[in-house]
Amino acid sequence: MNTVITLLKREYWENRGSFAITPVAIGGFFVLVMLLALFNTEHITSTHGFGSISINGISVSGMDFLGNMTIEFANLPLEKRENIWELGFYGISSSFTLVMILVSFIYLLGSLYDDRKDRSILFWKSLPVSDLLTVMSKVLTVIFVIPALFAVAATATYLAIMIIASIVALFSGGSIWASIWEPAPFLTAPLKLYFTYIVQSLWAAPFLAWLLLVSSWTKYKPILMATIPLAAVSFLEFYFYRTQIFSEAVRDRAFGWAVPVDFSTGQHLGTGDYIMNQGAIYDSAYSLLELSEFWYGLIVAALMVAGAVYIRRFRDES
Amino acid sequence: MSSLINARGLSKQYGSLKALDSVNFSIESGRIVGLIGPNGAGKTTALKALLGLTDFKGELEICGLDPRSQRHKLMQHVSFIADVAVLPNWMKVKQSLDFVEGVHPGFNRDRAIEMLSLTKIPMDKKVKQLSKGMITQLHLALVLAIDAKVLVLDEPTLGLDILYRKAFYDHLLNDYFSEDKTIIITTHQVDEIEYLLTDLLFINEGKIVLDIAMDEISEKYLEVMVGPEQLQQARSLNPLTEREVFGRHIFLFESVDRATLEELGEINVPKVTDLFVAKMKGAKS
Repeated sequence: MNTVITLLKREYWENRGSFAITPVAIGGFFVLVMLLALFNTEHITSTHGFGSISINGISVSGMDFLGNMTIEFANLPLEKRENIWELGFYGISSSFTLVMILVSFIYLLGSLYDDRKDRSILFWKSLPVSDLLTVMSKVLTVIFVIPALFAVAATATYLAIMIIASIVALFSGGSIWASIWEPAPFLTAPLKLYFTYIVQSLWAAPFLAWLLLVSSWTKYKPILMATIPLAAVSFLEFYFYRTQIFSEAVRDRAFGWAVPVDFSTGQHLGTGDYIMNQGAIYDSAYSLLELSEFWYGLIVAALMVAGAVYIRRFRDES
Repeated sequence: MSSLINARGLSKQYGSLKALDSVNFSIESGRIVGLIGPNGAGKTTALKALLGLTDFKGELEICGLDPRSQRHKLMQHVSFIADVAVLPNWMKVKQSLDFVEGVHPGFNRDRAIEMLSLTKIPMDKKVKQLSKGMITQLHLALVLAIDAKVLVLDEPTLGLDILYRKAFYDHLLNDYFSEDKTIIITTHQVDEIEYLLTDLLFINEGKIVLDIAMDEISEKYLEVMVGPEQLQQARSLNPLTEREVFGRHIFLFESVDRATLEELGEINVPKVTDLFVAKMKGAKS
């Protein structure tokens, strides 16, 4: 157990920039935008048209607008207030999700390649850690650790925004409880987000495992070696059989990582409705277990991970 | 005493090149073995096979384990520094201690810190900020703080200055080594470690050309400094090598009776380097 924790720490140390600093920066960006919107004066906003809202031809600052809004907002029915907050949170978390997937993609491609390239692999191999455990530490990192860090950063961002909104409401005399702390799902949204991340990773597992396999095997640019074969097989299938079974499977899994799939049917929900449908992934996640494609995917993924472990055993020079 | 390492018919082929050609050897515990051979002789391949880093044909057992399938168990008893092993650039000195402590039950953190305190390595720096010599020192500190049965050092002191090299080997012999440990060293600077070694293994073109204990060398190999009048007689005894130093001829003989040689001139036990040169020449002819 100690070994597993140490291995996970090692992944974190190596990738602290993308695992921790990046999500904090995204959160910081949201908070900054909100503060700018609040404190922008009319003078600046009239030239930039940012951070202020024109009502009946009179430009007001973001602070006044939000202040007024909290008063109006508190009068809406609770369900409506909850929905609006939830959508706001989804809007924020979708930025975290997209960056997280990019981070995970790059991480997986380098995970079993970088140490061969910089030749530190002999150091890692000089320690009593099995290749299975090494590869599993990468799998655990991508399915559980990276999502946890991004979900925590997203949650901190929700809370920061709620606190700022509370201060604004305090000054404008709105009800902090009714407009913010009662309706905002700050306890459930993070859990749903984390759960969704894990479910989506498992759905995309064949694609993730493919990246890992390429990383363990390639002696040359992992990103090319990971993408070209997929494109080539897709092309050949279409050329000879005029079918797109393979390319559709790749699309479903690779993009299913980022874009929600309605797991009750296995259908994509459409890229455009990403934010609106984030809730649907959560709601349909349980029906994933009844989807045979999901289990096939996991089997294919397990085979590829096993392949990566096998290759790792003697792939010591890059 | 039971053998700690046993190789029988150990072979490894890269394409048409036989890196190891049916090699047999065994090493017992409590020995310090110098594995010596020219570049491309198969040293690194042999070490890699021992450490479970490469596949091979034949039998190889180390601490009762098969390195191919049980590398991770083996590494609890074996620690090593490969000449090409590089510590990861992104790692901080402190993290390297944390990591080894976390995965290795035999790691003694205090001992590593003690060794680091003799260097100028700062704990909060990353490996990429250290000099080449410091990285090697850090690596040695990590490895020597592990209580292992077998220690494999492949060119361990590459890039270190003479003072540190001397200190390192003294430490190795006086503080690290004990009866229940075995050390395998490869190096090109044989002179430097000659006094440490208990056994020699010469390897050339994938074959073992000499496998001998240091204290047996004098029984089998003798060097004679011969004057001009006895040259013919010396040559007739089939010397391994003949070389000329300041007008005097030095012959190296294998398995020739000591009394016979004493008649020819002054007798010495050959230095490892001279023996090495002689053996390598012999293998070529």
